[in-house]
Amino acid sequence: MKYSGRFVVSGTARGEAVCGKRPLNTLASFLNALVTHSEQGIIGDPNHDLFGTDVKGKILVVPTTIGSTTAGLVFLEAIRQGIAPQAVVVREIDTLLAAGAILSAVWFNRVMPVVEVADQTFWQTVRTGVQVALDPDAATVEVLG
Amino acid sequence: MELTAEERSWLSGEAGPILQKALETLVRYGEVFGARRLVPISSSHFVFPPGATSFPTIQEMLEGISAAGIKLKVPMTINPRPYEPGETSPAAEKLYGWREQAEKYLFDLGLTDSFTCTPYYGDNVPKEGEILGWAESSAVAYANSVIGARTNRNSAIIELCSALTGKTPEFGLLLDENRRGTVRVHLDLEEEPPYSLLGYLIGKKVGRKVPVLDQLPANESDLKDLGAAAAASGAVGLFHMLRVTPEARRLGEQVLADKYEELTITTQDLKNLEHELLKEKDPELIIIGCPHLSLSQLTRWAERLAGHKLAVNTWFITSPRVDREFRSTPLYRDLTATGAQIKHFCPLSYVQIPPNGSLRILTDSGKLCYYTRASYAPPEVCLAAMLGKGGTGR
Repeated sequence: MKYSGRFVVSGTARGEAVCGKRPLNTLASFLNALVTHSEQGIIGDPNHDLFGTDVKGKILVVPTTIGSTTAGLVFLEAIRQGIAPQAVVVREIDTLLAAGAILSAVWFNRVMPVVEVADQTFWQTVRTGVQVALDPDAATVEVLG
Repeated sequence: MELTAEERSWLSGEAGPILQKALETLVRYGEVFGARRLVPISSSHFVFPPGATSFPTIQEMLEGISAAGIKLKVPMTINPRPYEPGETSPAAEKLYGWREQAEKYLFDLGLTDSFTCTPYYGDNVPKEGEILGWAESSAVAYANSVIGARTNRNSAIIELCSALTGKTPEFGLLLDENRRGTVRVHLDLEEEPPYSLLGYLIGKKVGRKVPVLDQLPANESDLKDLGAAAAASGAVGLFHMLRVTPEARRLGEQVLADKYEELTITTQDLKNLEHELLKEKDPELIIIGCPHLSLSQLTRWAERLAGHKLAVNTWFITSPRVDREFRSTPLYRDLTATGAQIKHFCPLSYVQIPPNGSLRILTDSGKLCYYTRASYAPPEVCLAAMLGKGGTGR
């Protein structure tokens, strides 16, 4: 099933979805992995339902991102250290996630696609473990099951 | 987005690769949120503690920007350091080993020597209606809500792009229509609440909406603490308090949008949250001042503690500038004679440095509690704990 999406940063991606119910606090999520120079992107925020989950290379699916305004830099660093998700799908884009993905694309030519999907059916359908594909030309996010 | 001739020339690279990338960043960032133009800003405020060795990317960027020999187009202040430069340790140097070099890069660009999350206390003071390109969520909340200036919740590095170009994209909280309240928060309270606790609960409940609160006898420092907690537990960049904050005073009930949600907070809700946030009742260290204390807050603490010897190691944290002002008053001696110390660093960064994170910390800051293992207690309870009255026992 394909759902229309608005690409904040364009790029193709295909991989396993990791779905969080709550908004992601970016600093709290990635600080520990960055400080310990981890090779995994394990979510370090004990307040979040993805706590302990490795999101490296996955399609991270969360409602939105929140918290400290350092977040754009945290995402940028996670992308450059290779521990970031392959792509992020949100219900509502915020200034901090947009900043991180745009900074990475503009200053370092490293693309982590970010797409905003409003369709309620997508959010009811998508589950951790399913394959998801992003197609920026068609402006869609496909849930492959 | 409609760009001026100068902006187009920067975007095409005529002013060099740094300005090109900075402007492209702002244009793409603005386009995501429907900005139709870039607008001039009067200042910027930089959020990230420079020199963190876990963040080589920002070091690389600052090195490149500094090497290009360009200067910031508007004043830019900076958040506090992660530790006092005179009180370093091997662990601090491991985590922030590039601090001096990073600061030098920033000073070369024209950074204002400030080192505080409360730049509005003298280092970088916006006026009502001014447009800013600030980061630091607590400072954004204060500038928008208490001063009536206008800034989005900009990310780290976006604020630097804004300072390099003197511009920010016009969207979000810069526009009248997005500054009106979208949640009416009724306060059904038996007494004046601890403002940081109230802010924590509001942030949790409203996320990134614009809350409009009932009037409370809050001063500007109270509103600072409320906004900082709401910006941490949620993503509040602007709040209004009826008859108190500038836009609510000017617009009255019209400060609310045509459509808004309603929500009520009671004394019991606050008590429940307070119970949840008090994880430790026997502190080794009490930290007051996240965000940094105002001069009136330092004065108030000094008045209450004068003549006592503190039973627990206690730090009051403020900006270097406010500290200098406080030192010129007689209360400075009263406060330091209690054994309390006045510091200037960022407690959030400080507790990341081992072994500080394992200290049993008590604070009256909802923000510090949110991001660390520190326990929260209202100022009265922290006061009792300082005096060894075991006020934090349940």
